[in-house]
Amino acid sequence: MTPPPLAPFPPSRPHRIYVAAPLPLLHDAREAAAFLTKAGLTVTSSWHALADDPTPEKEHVMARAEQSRLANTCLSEIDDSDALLLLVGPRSDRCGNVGEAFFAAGRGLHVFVLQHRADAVLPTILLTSDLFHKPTLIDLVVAMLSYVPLRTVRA
Amino acid sequence: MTPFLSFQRRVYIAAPRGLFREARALAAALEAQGFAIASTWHAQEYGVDPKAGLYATLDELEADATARLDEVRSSHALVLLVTPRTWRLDSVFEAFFAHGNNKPVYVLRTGSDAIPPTTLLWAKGFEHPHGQEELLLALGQGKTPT
Repeated sequence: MTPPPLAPFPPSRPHRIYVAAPLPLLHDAREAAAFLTKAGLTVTSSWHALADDPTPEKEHVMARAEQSRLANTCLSEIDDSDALLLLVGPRSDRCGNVGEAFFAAGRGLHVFVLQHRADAVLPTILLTSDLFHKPTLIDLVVAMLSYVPLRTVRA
Repeated sequence: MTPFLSFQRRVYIAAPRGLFREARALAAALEAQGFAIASTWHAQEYGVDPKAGLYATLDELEADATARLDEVRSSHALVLLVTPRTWRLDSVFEAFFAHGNNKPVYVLRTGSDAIPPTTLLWAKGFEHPHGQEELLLALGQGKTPT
């Protein structure tokens, strides 16, 4: 007998997802966050919602304490999530966003790697590991998340 | 190698491939201090598997990626060697994966002009020892493996 297909279970709260992307994809990250919010998810990442747009130049001139505060904020937001969406674009030397994806994978979060532009290049072969989901559309992220169990998060 | 039966602390050394000699030297120094080395990439010629690269199939790349992340997972701590320009960003990603797995991560600069390639390496949980001596001391006082 064929078992019935798995059905998503009703979660007790909306899934919490962190949107990671290189700074040049700031606009795309905002669009993705708006899409995910509209789909009923809670977006935990704040870097793309700051009033003052983050740039590599601004990061470089920050004092060490400010850099630490920024880094701790990003990693603790990931810690408070069920999943992470990494937006991949053209080749870039920005590596913090991919680092966030690996931090999330290490924590046991579901990580979705979305090459959402025609010129997107997978930034490392390590992302070919089966730890990472590779949906082809952001709609699939939402659909797949409905099967992801909620984590016990601090929020 | 019997990682789960050994009381030796296992250290993964992550570095840009161009630093494979430095990685080997650090591995030897750590072994001399009684640590076991979890990383294998720096034992290969020039730090590169001759079978890897353009001729590898997707399955082979995936197997290589999984094996490397398993090595990180099997270690008790990770040392990330940082250069003025960290070209092999994979090493940085390995460091974040280790941090996500609650391993202590030590960011060791290979020169006075070396800088961490991302601000996120200043987050809590990343240690920045000044030189190899301080690293050995920190590793010796590290968390007991579980």
